[in-house]
Amino acid sequence: MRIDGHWLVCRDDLLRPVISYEVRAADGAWHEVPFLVDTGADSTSLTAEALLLLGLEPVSPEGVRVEGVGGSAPSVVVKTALRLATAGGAPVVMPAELIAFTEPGPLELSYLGRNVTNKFAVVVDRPGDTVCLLHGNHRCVIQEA
Amino acid sequence: MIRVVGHAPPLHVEMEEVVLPPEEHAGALARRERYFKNMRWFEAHIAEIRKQHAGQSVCVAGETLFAGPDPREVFARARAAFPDDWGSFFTMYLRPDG
Repeated sequence: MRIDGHWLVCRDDLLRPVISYEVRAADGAWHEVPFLVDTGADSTSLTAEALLLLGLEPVSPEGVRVEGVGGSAPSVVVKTALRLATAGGAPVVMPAELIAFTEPGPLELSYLGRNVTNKFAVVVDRPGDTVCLLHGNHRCVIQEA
Repeated sequence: MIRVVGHAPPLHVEMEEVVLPPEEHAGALARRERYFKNMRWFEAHIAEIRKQHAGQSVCVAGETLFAGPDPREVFARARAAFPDDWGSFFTMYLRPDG
């Protein structure tokens, strides 16, 4: 299984590795959301904007404490599902608990963290212009060029 | 980097391959195509958008930009203008220092 991402132009001089996939909203509708691939992130996290768009409610009133380089920010845990389009195959659905920030500002994009990426081999290859997740019958091979 | 602090348990994720009914699959593909059109429009106008809307929420729907400090209001305007693009919005928060 191969799930393709892309390099998103975030400024004239800045490309970021992103995988876009669908997230299920509170009303059952699916919304495409761009996720920054971040192998340093413990958890997949939604921006406050994505949380508003999806209308998801926190699983408990108590938030979780999340820190990044810029400090900490208020956040909650939400239950939803992710639907990832695969290259030429059936989509993958991942029922998931995610962190969601509740105030705009800490993140420009939602983050794809290790609670999701640990299930895949993650390829982030700028010289090769490739961003993808591999699983099952797909794998990466390192070889001398 | 995002670090969960304390002894919170890992957030649960399952994984299953699913075969969507043909209509639902077609809908997902169409939604994704519209989303990528909106994303490409955003990329093509990124310099101008950053200059004019730093510190705001931005949303591209129907290859048209909606922006403002209140994401609820931004999404409402976008949805009113392009109801068929609901689910295909390209959204992002632009940091003032981004």
